[in-house]
Amino acid sequence: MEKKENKEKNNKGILTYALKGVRILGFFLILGILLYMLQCMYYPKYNDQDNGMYDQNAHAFYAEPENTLDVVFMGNSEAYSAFSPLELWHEYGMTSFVCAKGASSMAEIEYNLTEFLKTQKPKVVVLETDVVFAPYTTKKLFDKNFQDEVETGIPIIRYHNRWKYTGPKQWFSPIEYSWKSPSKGQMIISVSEPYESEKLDLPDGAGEDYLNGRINPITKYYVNRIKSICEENGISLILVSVPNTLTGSKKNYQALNKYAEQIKVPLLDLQKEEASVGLDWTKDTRDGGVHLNTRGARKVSLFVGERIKKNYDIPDRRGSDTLSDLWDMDYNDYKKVVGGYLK
Amino acid sequence: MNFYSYLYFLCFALATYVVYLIFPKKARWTVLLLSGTAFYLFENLQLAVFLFAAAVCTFFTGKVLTSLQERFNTEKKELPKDEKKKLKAYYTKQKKMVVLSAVLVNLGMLLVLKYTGFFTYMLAAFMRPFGFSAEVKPLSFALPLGISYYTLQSIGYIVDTYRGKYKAEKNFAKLALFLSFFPQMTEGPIGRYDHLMPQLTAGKGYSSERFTKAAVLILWGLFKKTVISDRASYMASTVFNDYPRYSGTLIAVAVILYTVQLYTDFSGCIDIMSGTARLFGVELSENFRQPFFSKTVSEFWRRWHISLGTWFKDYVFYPVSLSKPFGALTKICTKSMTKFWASIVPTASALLVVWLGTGLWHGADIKYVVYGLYYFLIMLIGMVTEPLWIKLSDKLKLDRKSGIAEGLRVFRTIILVCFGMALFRVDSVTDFGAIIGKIFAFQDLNDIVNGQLFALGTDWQDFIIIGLGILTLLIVGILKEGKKDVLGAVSTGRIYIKWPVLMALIIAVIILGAYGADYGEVDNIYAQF
Repeated sequence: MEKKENKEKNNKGILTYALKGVRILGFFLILGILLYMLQCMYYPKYNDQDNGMYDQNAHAFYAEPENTLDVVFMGNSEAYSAFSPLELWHEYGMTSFVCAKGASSMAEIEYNLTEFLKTQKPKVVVLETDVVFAPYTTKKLFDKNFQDEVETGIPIIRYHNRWKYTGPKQWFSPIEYSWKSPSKGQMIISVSEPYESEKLDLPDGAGEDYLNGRINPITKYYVNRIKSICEENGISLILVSVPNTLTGSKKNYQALNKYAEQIKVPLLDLQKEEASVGLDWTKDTRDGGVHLNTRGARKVSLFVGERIKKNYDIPDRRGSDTLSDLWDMDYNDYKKVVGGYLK
Repeated sequence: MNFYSYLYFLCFALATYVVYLIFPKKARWTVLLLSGTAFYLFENLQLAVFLFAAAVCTFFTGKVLTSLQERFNTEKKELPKDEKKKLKAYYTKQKKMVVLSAVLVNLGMLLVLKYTGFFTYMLAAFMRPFGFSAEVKPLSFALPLGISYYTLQSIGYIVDTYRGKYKAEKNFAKLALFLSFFPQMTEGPIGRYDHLMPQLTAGKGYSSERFTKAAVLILWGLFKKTVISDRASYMASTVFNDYPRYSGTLIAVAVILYTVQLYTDFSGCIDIMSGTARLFGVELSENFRQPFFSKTVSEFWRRWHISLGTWFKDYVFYPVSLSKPFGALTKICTKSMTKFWASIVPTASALLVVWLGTGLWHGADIKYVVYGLYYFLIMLIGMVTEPLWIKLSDKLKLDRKSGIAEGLRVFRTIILVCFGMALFRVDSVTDFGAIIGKIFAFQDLNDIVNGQLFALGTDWQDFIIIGLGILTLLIVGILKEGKKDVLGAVSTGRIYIKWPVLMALIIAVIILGAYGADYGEVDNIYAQF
């Protein structure tokens, strides 16, 4: 009798816990469904800025024909200022794209690469290394990467504010990413502001490690993840350090060379090769030595393109098909815009 | 701290919570200590040494004070009455010396790190009329996280041990936990040992009611902070950072928005922290009690940042009022003044000390001294003129307790507090004067309707959200004043009330929160102390 009562009690206890578990699951299920519905409503249906896509230039690769881009340049503002896919096309017939955002975090770069790989099969990924020496303290770096992990993982958080800009029409329309970047992700800035001072002011919040050749473990963690993604997809990863008078400390470059050797990833150190690139700091920078302008980008692109062409099997797609015509058209438009400046 | 910082703070808190529950009940407090240490070290590794030093100093001071008390208790047993008195005087003196040294060490760290720049600047300014003309570069040091809060907690503990309120903590790790409990590290509230320690070491386990109550409070805090405060901050910052460009009308709106921002920022953060502490079975002391329903400025300060007010009352106001010099002052006043003034002058003198301290606690700048004096003067005027108002209303046969009269007094308090907040926000007292001048010039009133208002970082949609947010706070506040705890009722309510409210709060925070790419990062105002 007593045993039976105990058994009944135990069963009741188990039932209570099970019921609580079901309730908790039910709560999160309903909440999840509601949030997912909101996410579907607020997710950008078009890939241009006016329709709520952040960093439209970096995300314009969605509109490129599938599997047509052989090289992708990743990084921060240094990358979108220093690489010119249309110069590479004209000179080497190489189809490339700059998928970079200003002040990008490593987490965001990793996310953008995975997104890029959903529609493209590049042969080479170029990671510009300014992002390796981000001007943040470890805490800030952690904050920034955590923020981007959350935003990329839960899009409703990234696009939550779109209730301000979209009406019901967009809530239920299908996704149609057709906006193309005329410069294939490059930021065209044809202005020269020569490098003058010996030392520029460090940006706000720059950590002490900024110029001291210390690569933060958080950054290393993400570089390793990017490397793994490339390996899994049979892509060659190259690190390229574009000269920069702000972060270009000797210690940084020494550390970078050592790190590249450690992780066995080729490094194209343009700091060392500055003379061969032929950069002129009185003409090739748009902001006194931090970022390159279109003229500087042309020099860097031709130099880097030649190395890529030499060391990797990148096809020359010029004159091949309709794709070639499209690229030629874009190049001609680009030439019209910057031709005078580049003379 | 922005939305994402809260998110990982809450992830950190939840991870700690899971480990806390896995640990045996008796050892759960060690999880809190370790998480507090990790939290602090992650914030700044080097500056953690100051917290450690404060903990060591406070711990040993407590031990010495208790041992002195015990020695006195043992020695006095066999002594005649006269000798007992002498012995007591001797030990009291010894204890006072110990307390004074410990307070000086703790306060010294705060003064050196936070106020060196201010004092050197003041000294240079003072010396200038005497021919000192050298340029003084104000020194500034990095401030350890929460130093203004844990220093006051340490001093409170030392003074209470001296007063014999409780025996000193025997375990250093437990005392360190009292000073470093992570939910109250950044913005308080300033805890008391006898209130916190039993809760911290109780090792309370999971209870669904407590968990829900904690979750509701955290969400409520996030709602205040991310939906209202951060949204209000943009226009307030735009105008205050460059006020000469804007009309008095826009400045007046910015002052109101800043008041909203400050209240929802501070009380929102306290709610988040209190909710987090509640997960671990710890009820932090109340820091806000609907302050904007206050009828006087004194009442406002009894409802606003309560833990700071009660700390100053217990450890500054009473000791100062009961000190020998103040006793002498009271005697002089009683002899030479009317009864009314004899009661006002000593109280006002003690209040002056309290408000100078309160002002300076908020920051090392002359404007904070003026901020303290501003409230002191309002309270003094209130004390002095109170009999006049009573007489006047009696003569005019006005009912001082009527709804209209009380509403007007609340309105008057809000206006005075708004100006206080403006003083708190401006860069200098001169700026405050200029801002007041512009507001009372009553120019460009049409800036409210000509579109200017919505072009300063807070657009019309933001204003609607802020308005709805304030309305929600108002309703919850009114109900709470009437002893109806809405948040508590939601936590314990039936599933068809609890779930929709919880979900609405979560969705409101996610969708309506002012965070992400369209908004900048907004620092917590009270975390800078």
